[in-house]
Amino acid sequence: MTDLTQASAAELSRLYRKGKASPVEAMKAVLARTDRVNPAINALCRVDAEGALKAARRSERRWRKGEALSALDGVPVSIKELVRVKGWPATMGSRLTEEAPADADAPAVARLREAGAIVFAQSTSSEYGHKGVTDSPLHGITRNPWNGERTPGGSSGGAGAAVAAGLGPIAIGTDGGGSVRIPSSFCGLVGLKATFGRVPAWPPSLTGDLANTGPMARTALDCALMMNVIARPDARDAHALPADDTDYTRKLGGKLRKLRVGFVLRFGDHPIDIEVAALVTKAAHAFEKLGCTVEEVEAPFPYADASRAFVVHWLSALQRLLQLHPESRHSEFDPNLLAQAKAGQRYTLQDVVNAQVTRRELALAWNLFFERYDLMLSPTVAVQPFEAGKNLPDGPEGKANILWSPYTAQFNMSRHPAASVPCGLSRQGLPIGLHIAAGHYRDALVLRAAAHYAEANPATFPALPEAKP
Amino acid sequence: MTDLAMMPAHELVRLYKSRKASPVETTRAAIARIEAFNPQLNAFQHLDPDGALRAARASEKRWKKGGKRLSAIDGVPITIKDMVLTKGMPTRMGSLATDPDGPWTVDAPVAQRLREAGTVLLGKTTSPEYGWKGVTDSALFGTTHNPWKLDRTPGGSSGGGAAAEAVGMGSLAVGTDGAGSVRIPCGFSGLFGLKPTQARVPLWPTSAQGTLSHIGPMTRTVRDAAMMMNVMARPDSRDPYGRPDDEEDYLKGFDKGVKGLRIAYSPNLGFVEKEKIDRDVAQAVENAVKVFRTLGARVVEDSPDLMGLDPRRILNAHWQSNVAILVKGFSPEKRALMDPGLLKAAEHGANLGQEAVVAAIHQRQQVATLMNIFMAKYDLLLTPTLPMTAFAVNQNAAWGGDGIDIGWTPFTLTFNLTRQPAATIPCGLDREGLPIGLQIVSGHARDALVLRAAAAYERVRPIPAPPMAHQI
Repeated sequence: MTDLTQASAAELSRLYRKGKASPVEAMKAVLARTDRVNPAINALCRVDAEGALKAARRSERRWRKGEALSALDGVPVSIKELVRVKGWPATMGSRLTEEAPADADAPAVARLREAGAIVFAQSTSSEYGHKGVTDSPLHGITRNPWNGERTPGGSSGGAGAAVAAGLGPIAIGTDGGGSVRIPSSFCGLVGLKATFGRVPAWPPSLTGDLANTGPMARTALDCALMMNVIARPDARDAHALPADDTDYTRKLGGKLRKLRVGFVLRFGDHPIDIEVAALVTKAAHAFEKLGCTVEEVEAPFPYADASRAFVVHWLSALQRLLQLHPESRHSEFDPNLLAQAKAGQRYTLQDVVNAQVTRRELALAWNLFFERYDLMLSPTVAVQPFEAGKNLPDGPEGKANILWSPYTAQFNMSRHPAASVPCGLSRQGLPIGLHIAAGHYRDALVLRAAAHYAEANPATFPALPEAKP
Repeated sequence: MTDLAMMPAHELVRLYKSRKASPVETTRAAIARIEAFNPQLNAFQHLDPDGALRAARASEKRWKKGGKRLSAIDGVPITIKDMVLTKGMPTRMGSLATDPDGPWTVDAPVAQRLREAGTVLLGKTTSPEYGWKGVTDSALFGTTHNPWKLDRTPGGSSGGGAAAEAVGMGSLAVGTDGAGSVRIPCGFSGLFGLKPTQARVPLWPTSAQGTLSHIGPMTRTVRDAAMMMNVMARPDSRDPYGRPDDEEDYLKGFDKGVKGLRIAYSPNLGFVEKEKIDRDVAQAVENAVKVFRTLGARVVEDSPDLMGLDPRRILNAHWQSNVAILVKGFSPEKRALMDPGLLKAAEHGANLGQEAVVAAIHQRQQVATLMNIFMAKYDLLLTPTLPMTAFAVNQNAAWGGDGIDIGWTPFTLTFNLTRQPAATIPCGLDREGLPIGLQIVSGHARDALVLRAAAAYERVRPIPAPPMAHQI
């Protein structure tokens, strides 16, 4: 029999429907694998085995009676610790957060439950999701199942590591500057940051309208199945887009031919790993075989300005933590977070307002880019997964490389949909991600491009990795 | 025969179709009114009668047999606020600090859509400098007056558009609204005005006020505003906040009325001190609410719980800090030409400190979330548009305020923070004969529902013109 932990959500659903597997069996398999693998990768910081099995039994009855709530009924899903799950504390990777359990599910969690998915675990994040790797004062270091010495990326690194390791086929992450796409790239997954407002969220994030809730999975189809559920409306999000009833799975099948693709290898003057450049360039040109025209073009906005504006947005938002928590406890923050929040305090009003102005100009520049091109392709991250426990990878001259993630945050600023899809392994056997973005509200097109690419370039991956302790 | 200049646009185009009137005749009638009233009202920053007549003649050909009209409002004379870029016409932002020589080479999306629709642009209407206050005067062009009572302000900052629209100097007007600048002048000047859902009417160049900024129609009938929305609310890539193209027809379901709709009536929006609301205003709004009950709506009195957050403080921090940066962009020589009130607001903003501003940005999200949760229970929310009626000209704010605190218009500014659609419709006159406005609010992207509800009210309480409009 198939190892159910290796099955995608879509496959599980098919097995359930045919009666060839049951949600209880799948849940048990995932729990057993979690027991075995999680200690080595530290991806899940809370596992509710009892609740999960109860939910699995309810789901099993629904499938038997032919009353499944959705294609995700009975599918195990983990939720990043920045996202509220009723009855669990929203720990945020922090020692300073309340121990009190949340009294309501965040919108995406509520929708998943309504769809019958089994919310079985909480996944790790860097503290308040402030950095693109995953270690925190509360939970320690999360590791990449492809290589336990390496980081899974972050801040949704727990989600990335869990899905890659077979601890549930799907996960909910959040993305304020790349935090779904970076771990998706580093862990060999498909992850989508949808158009801002497409996936309702609550409560409002510290980082405001940079923050997005998004799906992470091993296939584009699973991301589409998740979008069908989590993109449904929720009154608690004042930025939520009107429900448009898009069927994301149906839209995966549409044509890709004749699309205009703009391939941007570099967003500016930043280093790029030679293997990342080679694999992503190959992947971009593979879109020609799919019937698209691919042009190598430059990013439409000066990188230094974009980068500066993002940093000002990010750090000035983090400084709120210093206002919200008593000074006596500031020493308990991740030193990296504390330094960033303090840097945020030093900005002037002019810095903050200028950054907002730059953000609008950047968004406009990308909007005009997407008039010329249906899709933007780039690397998701400029480096390979680096040493776990470090905030930054090593640069060329022994210095830390602060420009290792130059791509993702621009689309948080501009609110465009963007996904990462695996495009190969480096010589060291580490996953590399292709970044796919499109115009506002074309989320379905982004997933379709990811699905078509993956379908035309199969066997990119060996069997699912076991973590090396 | 009725004066074409005061005729609703939707009736005008019917006459065009049956060739009982022509765009040239209408444009001439509007120009005649401009000659008669503008010297007293001072509603225009720029006038282009020759260009308007050229456009009208071109439209006239399209309405003739075999011609192809460009839209349902082809040949209708319009005015656009001085804050909106128009090709070939100066856009001064009400400021002596802007370059009088242009170049004026490009249309903002809304101007472009209205031109593509074949409308006839008469000119640019007055605004205070960069739309900074809720009244309309500036060193560039002087003071704009209220056609209902000349010693009163028409409100602002789209005060020129409102004064012009009220007396038929144009059939349709375009205003902008960052804290109430469409709804304040429509409230004070007795017009219908809609602040659509943010970015539903695309905005470019991006405003110094970011997503507080909105563009909306100002009209003498609700149907005319819906017709304008059908033209204006179309996507444009230049607005990075542009909403999905839903191809909404704002006239669809327009006549369905309010029967069965769930409506919350909030006399003070839960936070406005009751003693600040003029008793005539409170009474007129109360009476208007009764009309909605009579029309079959399910009205309950209910107010959102904003958990102690004060939208006035939050909006002040946003716009003061934004104007601080705006003003810094000018040389000291140019700054010396600017409105002392605006400079004072900018100075105030510069001293707020970024922590306070970042906190206000977060609080804006919280208010928006709380309002959203409140609105989930209702289709519509009714409030007064303003706590008072039109006050004397040449004051920066109501109650003798200096205008730095925009809190005198609490009902309007709340929905700039939340980005919801909000309209004002006249609902009576006060003891001095000045118009009172009822504000009608709905959830995001439910602009058509706001129009539909306003239309239902208008059918039983038609919008009167100011006496001045009949004195030609």
